[in-house]
Amino acid sequence: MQPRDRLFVSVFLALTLLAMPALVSGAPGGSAPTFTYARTGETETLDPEKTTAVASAEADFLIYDTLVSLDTDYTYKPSLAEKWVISPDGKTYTFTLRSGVRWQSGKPFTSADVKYTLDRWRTLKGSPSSFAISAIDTVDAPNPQTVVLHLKTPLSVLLDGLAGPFSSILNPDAVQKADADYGTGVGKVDGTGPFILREWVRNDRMVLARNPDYRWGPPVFKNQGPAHLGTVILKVITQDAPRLAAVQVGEAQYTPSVPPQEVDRLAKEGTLQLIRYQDLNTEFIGFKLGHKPLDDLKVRQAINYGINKREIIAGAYYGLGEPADEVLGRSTPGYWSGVEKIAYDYDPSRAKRILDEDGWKQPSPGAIRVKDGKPLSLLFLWTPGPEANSIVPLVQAELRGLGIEVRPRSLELTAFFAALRAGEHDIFLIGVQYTTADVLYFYFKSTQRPAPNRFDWADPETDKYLDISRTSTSETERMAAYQKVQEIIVNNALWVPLVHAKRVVAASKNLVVPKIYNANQLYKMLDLELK
Amino acid sequence: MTAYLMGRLLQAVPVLIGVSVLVFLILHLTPGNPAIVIAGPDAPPEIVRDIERSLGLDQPLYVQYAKYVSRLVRGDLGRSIQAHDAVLDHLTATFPVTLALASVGVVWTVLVSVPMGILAAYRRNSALDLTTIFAVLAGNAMPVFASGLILLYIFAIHLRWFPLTGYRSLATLDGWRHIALPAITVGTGVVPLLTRLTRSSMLEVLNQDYVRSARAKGLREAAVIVRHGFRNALLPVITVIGLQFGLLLSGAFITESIFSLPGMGRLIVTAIQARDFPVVQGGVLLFSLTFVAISILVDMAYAAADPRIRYG
Repeated sequence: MQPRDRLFVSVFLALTLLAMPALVSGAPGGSAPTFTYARTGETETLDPEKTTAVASAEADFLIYDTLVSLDTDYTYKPSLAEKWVISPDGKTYTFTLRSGVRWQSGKPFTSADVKYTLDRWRTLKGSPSSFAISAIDTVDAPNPQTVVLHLKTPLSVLLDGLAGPFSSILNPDAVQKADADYGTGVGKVDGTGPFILREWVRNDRMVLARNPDYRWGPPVFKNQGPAHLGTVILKVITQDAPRLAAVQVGEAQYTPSVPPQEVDRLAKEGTLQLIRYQDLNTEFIGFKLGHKPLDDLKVRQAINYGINKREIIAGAYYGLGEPADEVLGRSTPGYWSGVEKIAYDYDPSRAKRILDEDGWKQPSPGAIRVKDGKPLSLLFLWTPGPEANSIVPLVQAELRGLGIEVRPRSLELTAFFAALRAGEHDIFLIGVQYTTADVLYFYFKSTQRPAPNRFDWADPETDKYLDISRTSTSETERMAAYQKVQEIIVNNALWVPLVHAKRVVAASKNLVVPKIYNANQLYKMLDLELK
Repeated sequence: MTAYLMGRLLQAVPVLIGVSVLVFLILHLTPGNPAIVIAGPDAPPEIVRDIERSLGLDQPLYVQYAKYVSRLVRGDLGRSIQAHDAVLDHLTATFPVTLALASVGVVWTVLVSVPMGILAAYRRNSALDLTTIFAVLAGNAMPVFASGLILLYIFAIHLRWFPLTGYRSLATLDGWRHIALPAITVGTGVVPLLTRLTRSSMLEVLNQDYVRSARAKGLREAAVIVRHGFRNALLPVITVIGLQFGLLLSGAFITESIFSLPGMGRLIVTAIQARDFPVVQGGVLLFSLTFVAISILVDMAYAAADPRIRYG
């Protein structure tokens, strides 16, 4: 063999050998206390005050603790604060902190840490969540076990803000040491939570080890610590099919999101636990009231009567949902049952009649309605998604049947929200997830325009009741205010509430899941066990 | 040769400047605001404005570009808008993954395509040739997401020979098990092209007089095919391997998504969706640099493969 031939053969063999190990088979490993959670997205940062992303919250709840915790019935329970007292005027909150709590780095936890966290949060430039505590005027730490919050005005939803992932309590030493890099990796995070960050490969996995000293879990769990699980791996698998398959083949034991179209198949196969739960969410079509002809109540009412929610639930949600009468689901504290009597049931004949009476005439059968020479035509902004892809053509077809032209324009998510903020839409399709009736304030207070009040709704009466809902110290008065707002919204047909979707999670059969904590899902994972 | 290399590297400078201007303009003129992404779609207007100010997005475009370039020449790619850490950290973490994917993919492609192409040409119009042509056409018609999911279903879910997702260092056997299916997936997209090219290139060469002469000299058939045939058919194959390697690097997003590999493709697409300008700009610049480096390497490989080619 010539030297060149030998060289060729050698290179060929070397490359083959290099590729050989890739062809060697083997089963993935794993041990009982290691729990792998197949998640849909990656944590942006572990600095909780710099993000509102759901994927960041999943990790925040494990690494950190909050002053109070949110139970599945939407009541607030102790966490780092073992009790709290609210002054009669609603402007002073005094928290007594739990003793014996230590940071994962070893330092004892004190009220100074809480004061530092809240002061940093309130003043952090560019924090997306600081509005949740904007009512706080000053924070005092009179002794190591006491924190006092002085508010500028009463804020009924303050505890909700303090239970959220972005209000995780930080260790000042760790924050100051890492400075701008705080929360970006191992060694740049410190919490009091049940799990300690050990490894983080972005867009692949985050590995957390049990905090063996943890004994201060909130009473929303049976087990207050340490966790039963030895290691938690948060594994990012963005595509639905591989993510579900990962749980089926045992590479992961849980996924928080099962697409509706997969539920029946998985139920028939019977290899996984499918856990259904109802969190507080509403999918809806919103109207831009500032755009003609949506300033006309009759048009908005006709559209409400003209959309068949049950058909949407069957077609887009595979039956996994309930028709929505309004934004608040029945289990929301503040929900007004009277809404069912004034809600718009599906009645296309009535919708047509309203449009006829309002002067919107069809020049010929099946044509687009016209009034004063202008066609009844609406620009419909939406962003693609499994459910939206089915909802939009259904809505378009139903409204076309009424003589209303719908011009759908699909935009990628970021462009979609920018377009809504710029007010380019006539109507838009969107979903909201929430934990309290304060979502009404969020969406309908006039000061919330152009977003999230994308309806252009500015009504002094609504504003008055929404202010009462936030500032009143009387629970009865607050609930009455919520009811009044719900009545105004339905009577004015500001949107078409479509569905409260049911959520489905999948877990391996050897995983014990005592509760799903609504939008917080597995929350701190203290009761989870792998059999 | 050195002068040639220096010339090629200098040529890369205007290319990179052009790329940086284009990417900057395209990103900033695309609808969508990173401040809304960070604040969340329901954030009140004052929060969005506050974030815009803190990111400098409220300043004119030319001021933002000037600041970006002045940081760039100091070797500072900036910080990610979403993750708040250095862009360089993201690139150094993800580039090796994509490089490993593309490299193993190319090796797999060459190992499959070149022998298939040579054999098909050598046994022209035989059953083997027709089978190869059929396989090539079928492979060409198969989109990467489909072949990836099929491989995933057969080898990771059904047979369980390979892990479903994730990446490990190639220094370990586990790393090779993790990269195998993704590499085969990205490679499978290139195999048809390279096989066809090798076949047609070999067919052309095998009909040349010098091949007949080599056989007349009494050389063994293997030596005729490899030394006289394949070496002369190699130039177009090298060109395509180089180009495809570059495309595999920049086009690995779908494969990285299916197999959840933490590579640059996913990094950049996620950053585009979030309008994380610094990460996109840094990633595209790195890809451009890699393309330039690959094209220089391809030129050097020409010289190695064909002694008649000399630079400088």
